[in-house]
Amino acid sequence: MLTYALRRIVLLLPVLVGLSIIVFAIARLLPGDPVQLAAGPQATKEEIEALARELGLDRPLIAQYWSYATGLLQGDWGQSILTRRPVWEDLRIYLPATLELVFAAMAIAVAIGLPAGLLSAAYANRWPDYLSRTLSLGAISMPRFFLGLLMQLFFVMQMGWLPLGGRFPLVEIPPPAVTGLITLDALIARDGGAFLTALKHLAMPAAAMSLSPLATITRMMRATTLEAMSQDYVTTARALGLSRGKILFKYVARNAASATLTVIGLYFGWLLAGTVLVETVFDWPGVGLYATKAIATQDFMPLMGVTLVIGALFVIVNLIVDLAYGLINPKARYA
Amino acid sequence: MSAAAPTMASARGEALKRGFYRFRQSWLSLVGLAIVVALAGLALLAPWIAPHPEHAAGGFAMNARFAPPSRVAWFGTNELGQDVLTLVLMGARVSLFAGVAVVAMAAALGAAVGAVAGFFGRWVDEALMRLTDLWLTLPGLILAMAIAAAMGPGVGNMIFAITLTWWPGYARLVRGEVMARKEEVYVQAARALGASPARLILRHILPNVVSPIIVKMSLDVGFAILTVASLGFVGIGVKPPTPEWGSLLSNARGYLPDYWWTAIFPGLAIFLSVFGFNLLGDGLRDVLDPRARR
Amino acid sequence: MALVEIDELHLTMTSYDGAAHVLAGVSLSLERGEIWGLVGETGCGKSLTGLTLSRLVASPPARYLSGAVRFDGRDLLAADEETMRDLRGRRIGMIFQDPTTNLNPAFRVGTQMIDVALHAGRVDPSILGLAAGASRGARRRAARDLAVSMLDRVGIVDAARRIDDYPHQFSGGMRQRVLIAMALIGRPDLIIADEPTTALDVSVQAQILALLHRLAAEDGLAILLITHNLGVVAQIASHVAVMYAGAVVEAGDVRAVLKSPRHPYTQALIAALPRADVKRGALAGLPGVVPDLLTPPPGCRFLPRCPIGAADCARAAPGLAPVDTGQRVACFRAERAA
Repeated sequence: MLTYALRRIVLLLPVLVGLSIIVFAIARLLPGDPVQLAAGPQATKEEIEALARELGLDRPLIAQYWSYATGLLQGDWGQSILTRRPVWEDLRIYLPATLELVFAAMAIAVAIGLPAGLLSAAYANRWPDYLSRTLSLGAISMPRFFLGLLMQLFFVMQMGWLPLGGRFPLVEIPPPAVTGLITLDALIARDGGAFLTALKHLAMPAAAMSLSPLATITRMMRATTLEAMSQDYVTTARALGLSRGKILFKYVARNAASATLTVIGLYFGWLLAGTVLVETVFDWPGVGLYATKAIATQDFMPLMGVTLVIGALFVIVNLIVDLAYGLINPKARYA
Repeated sequence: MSAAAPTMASARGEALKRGFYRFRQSWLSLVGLAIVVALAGLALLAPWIAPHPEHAAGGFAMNARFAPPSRVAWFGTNELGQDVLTLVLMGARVSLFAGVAVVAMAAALGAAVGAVAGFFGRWVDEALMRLTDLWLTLPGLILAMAIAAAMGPGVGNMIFAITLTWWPGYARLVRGEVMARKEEVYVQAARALGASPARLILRHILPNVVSPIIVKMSLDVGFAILTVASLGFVGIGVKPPTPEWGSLLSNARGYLPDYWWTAIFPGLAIFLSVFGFNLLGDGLRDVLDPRARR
Repeated sequence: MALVEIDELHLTMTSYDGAAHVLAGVSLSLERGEIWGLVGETGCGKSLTGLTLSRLVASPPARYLSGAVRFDGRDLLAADEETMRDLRGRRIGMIFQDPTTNLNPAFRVGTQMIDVALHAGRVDPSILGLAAGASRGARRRAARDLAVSMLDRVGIVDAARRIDDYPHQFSGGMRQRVLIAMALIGRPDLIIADEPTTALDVSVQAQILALLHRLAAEDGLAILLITHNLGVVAQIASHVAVMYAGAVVEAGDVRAVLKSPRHPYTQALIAALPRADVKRGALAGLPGVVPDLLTPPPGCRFLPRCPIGAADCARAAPGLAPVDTGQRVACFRAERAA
């Protein structure tokens, strides 16, 4: 298990290098002259050339990539034109916000999706199944930004129960940052009031965000449950008198859940990228909002940084899920 | 050979009949088909049936601003007095066209990469698939936004940008199918007769992997429409006055909650079209890909 | 009264193509202490017959047309799910073909056995050796002890420790022993073993068969051994029933049937067995194919392939009738076949 894990971790390195090459290549191949943009519309030809030299953009591409890559390793992810701060510093502030959102959304999706899928399979082709399948298809089809607006319309503007957006009131002092996830930090600081405030801010964006993983997990769980229910060991268990409930909730549920949970890894990266829209609607200060603002101003270094961070997280989470799968499923450990 | 031909034809006919039977059994697929057909019809006829086609070209009526839904203007009017129903109908043309175009182009690009990788194998396969896998790890929406923003506004640029993030799924699918097919006897026979690689791929292999590609395309159209609307919502892609559902919705955000109708109807249009295509795609998958059936 | 009585059972399976008449007059009866081999080719309905005894055939698509299935005098076709559950695992144990897929890979062997023991104990507390009102903890401990002793009994070395292993930590033969132990936990009267040795190595097959034989003798069990392999039947069965296309065509004492088969199908089966005294390549093949059960031939289903069939065999299906050598045969011309 340990050597397997180590080997997988070593194999991660070429993937990360490849990722940085692709991101670099896309940024360079895109139309639009980053120097021109950085120098501003009034810059003269000499000023632009001077800036290009200063930024090293007049050198061959390979040399440029090399200095970009070595910079990445030293924590130099470039400078944001918009915030006028190092991209790395910005990411350190914005990434925890996005992670908090994604974790919360995933928690909601797993908590509801696993039982919903299990029940859907247990009642396959009867009304609870049809209801759950139609609802999940509806959930997948619902644009998250539209759902976000509807929720704002109802919970904020109509009922006044929740804040419109943001992560924590600007006028209040957030709990001391330990994990960077405000809800967790509030719990660590034993600050119930701050926890509740943070939770209220988190509720709507997380719910909007959870919709499509929820639907996917439900559908996946239904399929894996049906698959598990057709296995020989279920026939044996039934032949030896175990009740349907016991077979379904104890034996089948674990097999189906461990197969379903691998999907979550695949979904994680997708969710990270998908926060853009929800963060825009709820003004949630995460990497998605950061990227959107960078795109609007053609600010390339932050954009490359965000793309790289999300890509890397995606690969790493997949690895973690793979390793965790080995722990849940004893048979995969030796494979 | 001549004796086998009719049996094969009738076997295929039988399979189609069973598939159609399953499709009709599925009530939801029929609803999906109805939604898609209705939307396509409305989109095609929009210039003739929309109450104020001139509004979609930038025309406005400042004396009729923010009229709530009524018998005159079913979906109300917006901040420029434009008829929301007109904008939504004309927007269907943009969204449906862009959604279908993205999927078609992505499928073509992905199929090309996948077929080459699967057919030639070895280092070609290795190189192309590594690239594909890496590409899959990139955050698609952010990438599409960045490319579209860099290329400037326009429906074509937006379609191109989304296509660039969408092809890897098809590449993987087609590669697997091609690898499975290329060893089959009819391909080997054609190869022995001296057919060129291009001819082998185009004439002998790809026609036999069409149905999984169609299944994936039908499942993808809904999400492509959703992505188009997403770009519109963050203000990238189509520029006014061209009505696009996502940008209509984004524009209407500023007028909530009082003028809710300016947001609700474009939003519902996105939901309904994505939902319709997803229902249809699910049904088609059941028909064309019995393996995935549950 | 026999322990198991299946009497003229008819059953159809409905699919897109229509209703297939898959069991067409199955009759069988087992006494305690008897090992019955149920043989026939794939699709002849032998596994289905085993599953009907536990009522594990999903209905629909299955539909019971007529006939009876009785266990210890009780009409199983009329029994509700509750009654059947009380029988399963307690009085009727089942063993299936592939020991790899019949144990849940994600759970320890012990967990799976203890659940079966607890179920059997709920039906009959004396199985756990406890009084009716024993505490949950006591029942769990007793169930675990019972599981360990069963593993020990089927020949698992160091059972007390191995019980906490996962299925993949056992070899194929050992897994089948675990499944046999599981089936025995409830002290059943009947074991239905569906191809229990088919997935195993030849050397292991013999051990498993010997184990089943020993257990049947020790406990006075009735065993219904479903197999396509006449060799297996010859090794351990006391009786044999041969099925063809959904019906029993010959049944009786194993020696009588194997030595002087009277049904032409049984004769062909036995003739097809590889034997040391027959030259290679001289195996007797049976012409034709198994009939389509959606549209079975009228009368005797074996007629299209029968070497001795006559026109009147198509009028009605023959019933089982005794012949001079003791077994019962479903053939109008059985006496001539001697």
